[in-house]
Amino acid sequence: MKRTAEVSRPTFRFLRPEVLAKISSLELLARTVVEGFLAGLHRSPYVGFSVDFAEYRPYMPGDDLRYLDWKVMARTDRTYIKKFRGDTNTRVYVLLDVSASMTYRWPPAIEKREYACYLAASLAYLATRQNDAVGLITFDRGIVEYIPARLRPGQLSLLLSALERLRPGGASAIADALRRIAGRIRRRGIVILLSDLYESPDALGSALRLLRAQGQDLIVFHILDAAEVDFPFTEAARFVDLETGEEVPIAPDALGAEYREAMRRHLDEVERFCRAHGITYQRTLTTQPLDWALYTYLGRRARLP
Amino acid sequence: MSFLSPWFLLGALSLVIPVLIHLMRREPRSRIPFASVVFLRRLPEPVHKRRRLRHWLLFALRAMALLLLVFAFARPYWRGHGEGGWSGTALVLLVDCSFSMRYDARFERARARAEEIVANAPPGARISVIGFSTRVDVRAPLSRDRASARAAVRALRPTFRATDYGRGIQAALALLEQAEEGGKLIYLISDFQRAGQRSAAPEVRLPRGVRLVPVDVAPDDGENRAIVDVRALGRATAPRGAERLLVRVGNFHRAAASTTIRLFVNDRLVQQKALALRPDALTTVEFADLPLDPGPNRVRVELDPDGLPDDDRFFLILRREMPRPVLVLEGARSRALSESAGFYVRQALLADETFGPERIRTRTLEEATPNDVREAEVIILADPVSLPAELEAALREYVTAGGGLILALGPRTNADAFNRTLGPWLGARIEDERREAFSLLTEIATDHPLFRPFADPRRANFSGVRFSGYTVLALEPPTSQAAPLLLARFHDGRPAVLEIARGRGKVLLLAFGLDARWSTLPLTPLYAPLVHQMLASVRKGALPPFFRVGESIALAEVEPGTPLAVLAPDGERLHRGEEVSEDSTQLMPERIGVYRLRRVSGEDMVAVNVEAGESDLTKMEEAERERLATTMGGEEVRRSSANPEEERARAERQTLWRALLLMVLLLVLSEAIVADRTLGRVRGSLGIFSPKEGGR
Repeated sequence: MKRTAEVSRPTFRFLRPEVLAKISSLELLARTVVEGFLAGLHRSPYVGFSVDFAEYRPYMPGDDLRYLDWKVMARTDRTYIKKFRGDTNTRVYVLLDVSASMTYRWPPAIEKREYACYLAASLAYLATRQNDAVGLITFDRGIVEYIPARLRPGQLSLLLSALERLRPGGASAIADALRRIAGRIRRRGIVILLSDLYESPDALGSALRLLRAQGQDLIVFHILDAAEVDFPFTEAARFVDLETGEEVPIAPDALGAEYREAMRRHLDEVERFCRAHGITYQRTLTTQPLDWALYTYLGRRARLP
Repeated sequence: MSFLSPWFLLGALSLVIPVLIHLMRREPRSRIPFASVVFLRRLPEPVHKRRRLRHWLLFALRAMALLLLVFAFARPYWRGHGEGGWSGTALVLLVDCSFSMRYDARFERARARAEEIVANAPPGARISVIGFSTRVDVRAPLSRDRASARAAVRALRPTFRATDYGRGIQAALALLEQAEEGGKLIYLISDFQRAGQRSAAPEVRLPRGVRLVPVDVAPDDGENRAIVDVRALGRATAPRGAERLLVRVGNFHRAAASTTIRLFVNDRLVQQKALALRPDALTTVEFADLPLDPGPNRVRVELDPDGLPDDDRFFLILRREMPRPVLVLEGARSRALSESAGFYVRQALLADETFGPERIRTRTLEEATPNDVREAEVIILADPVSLPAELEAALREYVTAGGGLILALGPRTNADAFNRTLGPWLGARIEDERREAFSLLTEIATDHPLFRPFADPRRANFSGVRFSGYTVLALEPPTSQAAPLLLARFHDGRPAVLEIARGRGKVLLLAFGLDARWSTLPLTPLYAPLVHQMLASVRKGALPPFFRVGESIALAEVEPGTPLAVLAPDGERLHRGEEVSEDSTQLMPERIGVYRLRRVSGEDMVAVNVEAGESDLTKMEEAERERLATTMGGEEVRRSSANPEEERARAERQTLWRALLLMVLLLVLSEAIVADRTLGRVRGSLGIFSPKEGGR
């Protein structure tokens, strides 16, 4: 039985990323995020994803009446909702950009790479609880580590330990890396891209189109530090590229506005491309709580057959 | 508004430094890591865009604080009433116009340097030009008119006078006293001849704020030969007047020299001698058998001319006439020689070869007759116990007619008799005829002809003359008669030597005796020359053989009646006011040679030579030059302010700096507040966080 669940976003806030950073265990962190996230939902996100019956629970206003067990209601005059154990036929790949530019942070935010790690761990945890097969690919200019998506005990631990031992990579070439990844992922599934996307929109679009052409359901988390968007600097300085070491002297008071305009054009172009090609695009600042990203994932997951 | 220390205003230039640094530092130094510079690289002119000044208020506050600080250090002040004009530097150009400046091209160089200083003087500076020697000539008072200063410099001429640095500097200081606050400079442009340090001149002290800048125009000592002195020796009985002429020739150089010396009498060469001169030494040459005519004779002695030719000639007027006796009158015959003024005076007179014993006539008051008085050339009256009325009348008549009297009040002087007879006539009174107290001579008028030869204490030191007693004289209130001229005092301030003019004659009144009872004077080497100087000072009608430039010549002494005309050596007729005094009684010669005094009764002549001491061109040592002026101490500076009210007003006008410093303080406080508000934000934007905030 195929069911969909409507996911609404809560109005309260979850733990901030800089607070999560104080949790040393990535698994604990992921559990904290996901369980807290799930506890706040009005309806279970993974109920209805399978045909195997699991249990009954009392009807609550807002539940889909299609799941109401009419026979029980006729016999006992009580309203119960049937719950089914989930089963999966979906593979989830988390593509994590570990290039040097992802190590950027502007206090008080945490590093983009850290944020992406937390997000990847949370997504992996969530997917595992939904019985999805989860895999992890880290990349910079090429594939750094590849863990195929599997549904088996210990897969989550394998992913989390891989995330914990991540080291910063070198310069990035996202388009090339995505092409190589496209060559490795044969079966259809959900591909979640976590990157700052410092790549020309044309090359990036070409690579994403390739994945899309394979039938992958793409979710792009464009992870940025707020300083990259707002450019809050005032004093003239030499800005050093974290990947190439290139230095560019800039007087922000004169050129800040021009930078922000160039960045806005780039973001708009990437987003426009994604929307045009059915790719879920989520611009994520490292100061935002992780639940925003989970909502995005679940929303996309809910649309899957 | 003016400034006491205007040079501090240069500190305002420091404002330019931060702007210059800003312009030079176009490349920022701080480095900020960034995720990717791909969008920054595309920005237009990321490197060459200049930084703009953003915190204008902060900059204005800091600049204002710095400027006010600079102004405060420059000590601004408001000019008071009557202090119009620019109060900046006051320059006095003190140009040496003495005779030695005629050597080589020293004077031309001095004038050129003076013009150069005028040309380079700071704008608005007030300049004065003074020519000095033993006379000070203010050619241009303090003024901003450069043209007149330049004209004054060009009008300067070298004189035949000697150098006197002290007199020149004092004149410059007197001028600078009129100048308001600001830099005060005295440019002493000179050849810095050692002889110019006249010890007799009062010590020069520079007040604080006045600087003496020496400008030396003499590259070296110079080489010079000169006739420094000539003495005519003769005896009254000699048929032709002066018997011998002793000429002293100086060679002021480290090398020996040879020259020829020539003697001219009435413009005729009469003798000539070759002369070998030792280095740095005086040589005496003697001429005898001078062919003199009766009356005044023009005598000229000459050397071969050198770099300074005017002192190679020496002019004299030698008169051939029968000399008259010197009458020594003693109150009483002394039992011991030490008590006899006559004895000492006689010995002193005989020390000069021109005096034979026959020219000295010694009498007691009882022995002397009016005829003795009338025949005498000079009368020396020692210890007048009691003066006979007849003799007293003869003395008064003698002096009034032009005679010279030297009156020495010794231990035996009768005060009552003096106060009754000669005292009222002379305008002096004896208060105490015997004050037995130790004393010394002070305040000696070395500019008077009597003491002029004793001006140099290295040669004549009166501090060695001790007095154990003296007569206390008091001057009578002024009458219609000429007031006594005080030439020396005892150190308690009482008169010691007085010159009193009566009629056409002179009286020299001494408050001490000429014997050895009250003083050691007769026992010192000063006694004989002093006696001769006294004689020359009061001598009737006899002009000395020569004068020096700058000496005052009393024309009335030459002959009764005013001279009709005075002709300078070059034949120019002198008018009153130019070398001849307004009342035609004094001649102050400024040229060398023979002046002619033309009268109805005939013509007389006076010879004038270069002022003594100028021929030695040896320069001062550096240490001597530094000693020329010393700085006055703070106590004396305070005392120098004449008017306390004016001083207080001046001090109040100079307190502006305090208000400026207060404003600086307020500005600094304001700057701190503004900086905290503006720069604090900037620091936050640069990510300068405390460790608690998790800084990078």
